[in-house]
Amino acid sequence: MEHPLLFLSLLLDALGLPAHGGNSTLAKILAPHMQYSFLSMIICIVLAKMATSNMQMIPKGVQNIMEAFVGSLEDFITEQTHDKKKTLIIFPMIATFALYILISNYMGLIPGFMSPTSNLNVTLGCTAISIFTYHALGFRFHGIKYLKHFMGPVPAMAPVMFPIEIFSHIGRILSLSIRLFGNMVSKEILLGLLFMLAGPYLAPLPIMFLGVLVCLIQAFIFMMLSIVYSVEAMAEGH
Amino acid sequence: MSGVKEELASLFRSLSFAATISLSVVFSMFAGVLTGYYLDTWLLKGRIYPWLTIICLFLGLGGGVKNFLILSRRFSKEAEKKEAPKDEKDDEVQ
Repeated sequence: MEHPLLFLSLLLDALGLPAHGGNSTLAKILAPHMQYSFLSMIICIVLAKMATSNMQMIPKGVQNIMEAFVGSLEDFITEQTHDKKKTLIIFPMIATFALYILISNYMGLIPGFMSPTSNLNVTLGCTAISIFTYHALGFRFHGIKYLKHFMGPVPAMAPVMFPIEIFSHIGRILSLSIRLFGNMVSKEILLGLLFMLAGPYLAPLPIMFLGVLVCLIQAFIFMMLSIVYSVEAMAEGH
Repeated sequence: MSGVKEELASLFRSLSFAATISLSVVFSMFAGVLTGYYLDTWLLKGRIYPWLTIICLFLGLGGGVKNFLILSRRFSKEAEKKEAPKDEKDDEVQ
């Protein structure tokens, strides 16, 4: 298959670096999804830096946008947790996910860029962080009694409930990662097909409009589910 | 204008909830079937072939139902909360 035209890959090609994937470690680090993942990380850091470097009492520009984003997100999480302390514990992770995934998703709509989230490895990485964090939070809030949550309410039912819980957690991993990946990659493939088959000008426009919506919804869902699972793990016994 | 915005927001929310719940049920079942199939073919070399797959399918289904219950409870609670302040306002107007 032909390589899509990616600006960062062309740039790295010009510098003589392996930019289209391969088996060496450097090629793996500089694969296209990694390049664009780094780019969206850099955008996140730059946004944070711009928002906090010149803080004013009456916010302007980037500070204003970021304050609105952070404030509304904090309210949203507090609605779920009902506890300021718990909110502050999970807030950094959730805010990072929201910003990173939103930027990554929308990057795919610009010609010459791709969404890092249209690669399963990236979404699986985000999911791993989320899953590991909520289990760690469960152990932190309940100690070893967290394992009792897996056993169900009745001790006699434990041999049946334990596999059920395991499968439900595996299902969470799969649904969290594959949903984001599938939506993004389907959008990209559809856009590519329409560009090639139906003519370059207005044919991909409806899919692009749908893409704008899907990007926002998927970022919201990922954030929402991370919150719900964390809250569920931190909640007092069932 | 604000009415349209609220409609859009509620549409958006229910769309995301529907997608979320359905997929977490489906993938939980999928995980069960896959685990059962691999246990059957790779661990037991097909000696009791369909049975472990079927048992794990039902366990996965149970896991899916559990995910469904957790998510739908969480989401319906949130929807009620979104509805509640509006009702209070309506009462005040009346």
